[in-house]
Amino acid sequence: MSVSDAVLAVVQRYVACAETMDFVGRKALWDKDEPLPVLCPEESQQALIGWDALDAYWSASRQSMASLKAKAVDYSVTLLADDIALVTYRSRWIAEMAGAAATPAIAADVRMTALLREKPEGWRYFQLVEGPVDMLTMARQAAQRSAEELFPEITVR
Amino acid sequence: MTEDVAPIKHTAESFWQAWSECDVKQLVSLWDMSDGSCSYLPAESSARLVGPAAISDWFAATTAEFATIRMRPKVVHPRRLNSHLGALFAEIDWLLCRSKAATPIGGSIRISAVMRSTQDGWRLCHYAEAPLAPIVELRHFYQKIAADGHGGMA
Repeated sequence: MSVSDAVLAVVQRYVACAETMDFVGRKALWDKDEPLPVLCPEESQQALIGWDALDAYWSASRQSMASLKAKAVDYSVTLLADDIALVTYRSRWIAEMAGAAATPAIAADVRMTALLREKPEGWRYFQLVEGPVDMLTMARQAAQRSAEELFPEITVR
Repeated sequence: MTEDVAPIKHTAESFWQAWSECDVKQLVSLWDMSDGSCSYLPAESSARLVGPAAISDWFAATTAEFATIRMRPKVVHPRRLNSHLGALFAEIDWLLCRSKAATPIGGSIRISAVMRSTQDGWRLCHYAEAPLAPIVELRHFYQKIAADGHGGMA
């Protein structure tokens, strides 16, 4: 297995943890020796910096969702150094909220930018920033989707 | 390892200042353009711009499109990854205006960046713009209208 394949395997394991909402499994793929891990979820107003913030987020996520699925595509692995890798990918999450917030499932495509370093136990995350396209672009995508649904005779090629 | 992160932060701040001055030459100069795999992920794009030419063209096109650009950092977390690599997470406020007569638009955005130490100083080799989820931004917008009450109606 090449170094890039080894990095990619860890990232794919991370994405797969969504299926069982295995946030303990996700945490295990972070560098436990990193004093200031950075996780910036797309829905979080503030970036999560430090283990307490990450643990609180994962705990809350486990309780707020009834189900979560994720699939990722367009992986790109860049080795910045022998032991540091930049990985970008696009992920679509599909979530059903729990409790009073329950609604039909919602989903979005998110652009992921991850930094991992090699540890004795394998490649591990130390920074992960999630970001969808911006609101103006998403509004245009929504309007294009509506046009396709309302006027298929014009828009569907 | 010396954890001198000030030069990394300085390069990022220079980059945002160059945006605010629409200074394409300065924007380009703050990148390691010898890196053929350098990449830039704009907020509105699902795919990265890869390579010096694509990134330079993006700077030229964007600065030509807007009469006014402002990039103002509010949170910056630089870090050293090793002797020659650095990373940065930041939150910045942005403003764009197409012409002097147009109404500006703006917002906040998160940044993930990687830099490399070169003979010219710390230079960017990866930069990703990560917007807050629009569903959250819209909720905030609704909340701001509610805070205005009916007095804010035109």
